[in-house]
Amino acid sequence: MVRTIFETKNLTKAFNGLVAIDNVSFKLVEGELRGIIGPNGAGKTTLFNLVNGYLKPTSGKLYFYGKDITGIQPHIISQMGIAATFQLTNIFPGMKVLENVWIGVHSRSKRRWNPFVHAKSLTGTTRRSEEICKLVGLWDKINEVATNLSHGNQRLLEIAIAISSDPTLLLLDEPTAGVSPQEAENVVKVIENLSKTKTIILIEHDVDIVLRLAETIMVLDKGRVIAEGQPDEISENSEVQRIYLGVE
Amino acid sequence: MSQRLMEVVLRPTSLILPVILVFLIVMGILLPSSIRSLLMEIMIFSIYGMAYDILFGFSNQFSYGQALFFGVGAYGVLLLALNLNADLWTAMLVAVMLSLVFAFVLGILAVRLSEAYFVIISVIFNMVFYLLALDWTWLTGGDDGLTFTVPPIPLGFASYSVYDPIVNYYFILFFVIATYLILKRIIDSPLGKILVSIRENEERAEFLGYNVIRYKLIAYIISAMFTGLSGTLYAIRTRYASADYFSLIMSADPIIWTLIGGAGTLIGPIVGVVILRILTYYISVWWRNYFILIGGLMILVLRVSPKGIVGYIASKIGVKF
Repeated sequence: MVRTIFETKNLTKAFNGLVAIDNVSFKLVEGELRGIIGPNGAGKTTLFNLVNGYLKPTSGKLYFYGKDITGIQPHIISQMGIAATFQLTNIFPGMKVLENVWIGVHSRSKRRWNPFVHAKSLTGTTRRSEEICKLVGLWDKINEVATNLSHGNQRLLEIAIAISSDPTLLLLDEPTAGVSPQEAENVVKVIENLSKTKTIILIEHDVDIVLRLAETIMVLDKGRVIAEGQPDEISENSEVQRIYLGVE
Repeated sequence: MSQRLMEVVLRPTSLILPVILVFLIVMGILLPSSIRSLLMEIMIFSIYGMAYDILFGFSNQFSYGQALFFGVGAYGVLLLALNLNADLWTAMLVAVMLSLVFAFVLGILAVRLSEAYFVIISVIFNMVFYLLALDWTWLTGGDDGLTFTVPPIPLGFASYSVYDPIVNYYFILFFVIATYLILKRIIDSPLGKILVSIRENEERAEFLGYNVIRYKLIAYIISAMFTGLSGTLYAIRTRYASADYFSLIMSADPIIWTLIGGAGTLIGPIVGVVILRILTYYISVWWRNYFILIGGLMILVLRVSPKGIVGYIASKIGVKF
């Protein structure tokens, strides 16, 4: 029995009359890895920002596990179990790698701001942070300050921070953007691993990666969903080929 | 080897602090009164500086109006002792609580604002209090200020008068140590880590599920309470308070100390206070425009190291704050 965990209904977002997301409705089932592709300006990142609460929709609704989450503040949405990575690297630059992840793991702790315990005494949190660093392949870098990491490693750290809060739904916005080919291969492996346990929406420019990873693909153009289906259906869809893949 | 040694020496829990502590305890009796009095001032302003670092250095809230809480603390203790004959502990406690209440009310309005607007509103709040203090002479004494008789310090078995400078010295020393230990504890706690993450990337912290506004408010209140404490100690030390305690110059001081000493290090502001008070003490006597020197020093330090003197030393020996 597949279970719908996330749903949008007639989601619309307009910026001063410019419609960035136009009447988008879709459902995600548990464990799905959905790729979202589309040309620049199609509204992919806007869609993410609506899901993670950074933007409020002009109209339409969002549901997470059947619960209406429309217009809820980002920190509460995060507490409910949705986490995101960002197109532009969004980490804690002056903190060590392990501390970056530690902050995320700690965000799920019950007594988050108790000022009378020593942060170092929370060994459970530290151990979990170390596991996550291992998982994304940053184990040998845990004591480096994040800003000194290579761009590819910063993208991995970005993913590590997102999964540190133990989300059930993970939004990945172009995780391989600006990353060298072999580092990109690293990132892909990490995502493949994660998709075994989490529901993921992946925005990616590299169509090959999406076709390889995604179970379902959604194509956005000018804010509208123009195609949705299995990877092979999408790659054969003539509309998609015309507007996105550049085939006449 | 030498690096290892330096690390041991500079690690706040290791040698250097006990050495300073012993030095301060012994010097209370040995020093000539003029130097002792300078040291007392340094200690009071160290509390002010550390409190400011929690706000500016650890949660990236650049306030140009902390004198508001300094004045509230000073007047709080003075008015309670003067008008209500409160004993010293009660007066101090109420004064610090007053800072807490004002910080809570003003903080709810202020901490939501982004950087530049936060600076502006902190100045506005500060100016309102300053102008009221100037105007309400029946309450504050305005420009001339008010003097008061400081009640003795009741310590259960005996009571001591702060009019004895040695008593006053140890009284202040106690609060400096307590402030350092409490603030250090907070910085090392999960709360401190969360504040640092908000300083580093506010948006990311929010997307991780932290209610950023609430944490900024907590930092604002903690800072205000210890600023208020330094105000009470200053009023007790001078046995006096005037509207000038609310002035913008009083608000600029902790910014200068923190920038020169090193923001986000907790001991940086103390280094800043020591340097600036000593400079002021010795140079203002023969050169009225010594502020030029302070400005020059500030430019020089920030040019070499944006993280101030302590930040510079720490980066040289590989210690991370």
